Amino acid sequence: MTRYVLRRLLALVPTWLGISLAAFVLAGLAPGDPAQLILDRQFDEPPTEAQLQEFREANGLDDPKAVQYGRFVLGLFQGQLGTSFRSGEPVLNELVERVPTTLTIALPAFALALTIAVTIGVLSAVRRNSFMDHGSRLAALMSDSVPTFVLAYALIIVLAVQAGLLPVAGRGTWQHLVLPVLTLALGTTASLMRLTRSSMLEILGEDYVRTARAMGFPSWSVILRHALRNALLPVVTVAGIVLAGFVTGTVIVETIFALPGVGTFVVDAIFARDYPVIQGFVVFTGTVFLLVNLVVDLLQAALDPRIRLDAA
Amino acid sequence: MSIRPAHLTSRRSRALTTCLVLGLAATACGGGGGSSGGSAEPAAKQELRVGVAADPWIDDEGDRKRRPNYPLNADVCETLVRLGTDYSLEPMVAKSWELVGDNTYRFTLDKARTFSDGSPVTAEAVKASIDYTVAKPSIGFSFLGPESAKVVDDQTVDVTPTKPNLRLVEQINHPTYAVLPPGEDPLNDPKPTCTGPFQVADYAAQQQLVVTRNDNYWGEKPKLDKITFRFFPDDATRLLALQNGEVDLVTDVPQGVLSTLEGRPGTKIEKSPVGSVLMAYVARRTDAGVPKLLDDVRLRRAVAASIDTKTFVGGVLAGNAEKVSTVAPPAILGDFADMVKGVPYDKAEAGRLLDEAGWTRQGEGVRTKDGAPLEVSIIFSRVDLSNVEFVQAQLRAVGIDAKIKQLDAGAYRKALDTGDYDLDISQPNQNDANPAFLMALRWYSQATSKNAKIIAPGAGTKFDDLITQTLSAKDDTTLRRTAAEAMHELVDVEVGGIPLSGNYRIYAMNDKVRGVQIHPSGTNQRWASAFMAK
Repeated sequence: MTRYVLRRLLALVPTWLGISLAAFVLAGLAPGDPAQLILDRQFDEPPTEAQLQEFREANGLDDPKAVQYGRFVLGLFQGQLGTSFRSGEPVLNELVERVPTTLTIALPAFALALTIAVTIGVLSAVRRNSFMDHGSRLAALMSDSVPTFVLAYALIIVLAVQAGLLPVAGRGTWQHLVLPVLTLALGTTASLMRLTRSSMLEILGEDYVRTARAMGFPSWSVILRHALRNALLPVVTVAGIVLAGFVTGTVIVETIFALPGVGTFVVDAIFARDYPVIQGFVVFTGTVFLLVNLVVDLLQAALDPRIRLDAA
Repeated sequence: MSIRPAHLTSRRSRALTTCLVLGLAATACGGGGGSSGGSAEPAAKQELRVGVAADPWIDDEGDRKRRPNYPLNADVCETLVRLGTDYSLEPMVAKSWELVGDNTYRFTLDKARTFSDGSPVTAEAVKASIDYTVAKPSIGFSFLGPESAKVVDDQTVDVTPTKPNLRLVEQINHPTYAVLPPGEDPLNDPKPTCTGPFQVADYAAQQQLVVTRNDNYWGEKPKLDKITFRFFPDDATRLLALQNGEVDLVTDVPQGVLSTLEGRPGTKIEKSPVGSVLMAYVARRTDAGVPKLLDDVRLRRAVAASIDTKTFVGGVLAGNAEKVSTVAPPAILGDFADMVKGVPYDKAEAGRLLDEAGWTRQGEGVRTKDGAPLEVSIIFSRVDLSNVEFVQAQLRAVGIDAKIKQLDAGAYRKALDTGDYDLDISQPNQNDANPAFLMALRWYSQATSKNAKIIAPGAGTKFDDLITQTLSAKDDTTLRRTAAEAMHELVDVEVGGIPLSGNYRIYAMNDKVRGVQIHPSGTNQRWASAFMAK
């Protein structure tokens, strides 16, 4: 197991370097001179050429691209994501400031989505073609068809404006988190639920499940110990991607509910051509995805020992 | 991130979404729940909760860590003079001012003016404020230098711009130039000491700014004990918060949702006089000085004549704006505003001008010349798409094929600098009392922006000479008349800018909110007269 983990960790290094290169190249492709954009906002009148040049020199924008990239990667290895052009603050600090806001909705939403999806998915598969199965599939279809922003507004109107149970938006109390968490969770539950159901149906038809039933194991034991464990393999993979997506920012939810998380932060940076923030965010996102994938792989190995053996 | 950010959606789709959301909410609530007018008697609790857009200090325009009253108007800091709602100048921290010499203004203070800590405002404080602002490049005090402010005595200070510029007083009312006590550093102090009717009690980035009454205020005491400004980046959420009673007032209501809000029980809509002009800037040449298609004044005039601004204001904007001929709010020109006529809507005349220029048309198609189609590109960034589409349709009606490009801030700035467009539709605010400010900033040959070289009539033109004269006009009448003459040259003769509509600032509030005087400028709103009725 240790060798397996080490091998996976080593494999992350070239991928991570690729992400850093992509971050560096992509940020520079956007039209517009960052010096012009940043200084335009800091002065009441357009900046002079001397001021623009001073800004470029101070921020290394005049250096050859290879030098800029080398500096960027060196910084990454030192745990630095650069300094924001706009605020003058380290990008890492700015991200760290915003990550908690994102996590306060991402983690509960993920847990809620996973709990609902797996529970209903399993029940639907076990009670195939029952009223509950049809109902949950219809609900899932409707949920999948509703864009996130419509769901968000619908929840606000019903639970906040009409019922008066919750605040519309903002931060401060646990009540403020309910609507964004519900929006995120409900928007994702359907696909996870369908995946769980189809995976369970496939597993329930396997010989070893029939054998377990024939041997007289209790139904709950067959479902939970034999079927669900194997059925969760694809669910874990998709759930990992969902979690990474939540953690790296959910712009619409953050905007509608006035939550200053990672998503809105990076969108603002893109508009301002704040290259260090954009690059830092891409590296941050890539790193989160890599780590979540690693965890997913480890979980899969724990769920299915054959994966570990194959890798060895 | 797989979700498309709300910022990236067009303003029209945002407005439509907002409209739909509010419509649904109204239906869901059965239209009830409002009060029936309330009394004009002040309520016991004097707290106003204001829903504003994104935190202006950390927004998509970049971090503008300036003073607590700019860009958000929290009425915390004050300037030497203030801008009236008719764009006239009024005393504020300074009780009077006069021109002494050729390029120096003398400001006389009043002993009654105090900071919120009770200490008096002195000439030394004014000088320190100007010196501080000059020393901080991120604030941008472009027309003053380290030697500009000189203390004459405890109550008198002389201010001299670095270059001849008699527009100092009109410009110094901008909130950037707030008066602070010596040693104050509002760039790093979220709760600075100032002279305004309110003082900062709390600021939580992207969440809220809370101000409380300054009991030491030198002027008429504010009626409110407290104002909480809450930041809502999403228009629909902001309005739903009003509907849900979480805020009492929302600023800058999108035009598209006004009809949904109007007539709602318990909600009222209030509007300022015209504070900004939506207009089309015309690109005449590239950044290299090469003439572009619209360098031909006949084509510029044809474009202007093809746009029916009356229908635009009455239809697209549903009457929530005014038809104007000026590139700045007409009030700023005073009695001289009528000197600017605007190019009248006349499709036949537009066609005649295009024919004369050699752009001929077969039937209802796009005009051509030597086999090339008559195409123009329209760029915009933060304007509602429906406004631009209206212009596009009007041009199409006279045989001009207009291509629309909505650009983000970076791409938009680049296009402005390179001249990679023909028409730029945007809506600048008039935030100071200088009637020539916008013209000097955008079209003057000596303006420092790269875009001026692309749209300016050019050095030596009558327009340019008139702008130079406005810098040295010694009295208000001469200034306004000269600015009006310059605007006439720009709009009627050069057709360098095409005014489309004069827009209001629009606030929605519950009917218990009273006494709010909405300022047409985006940076001069005051709250001291507001109160909550029973």
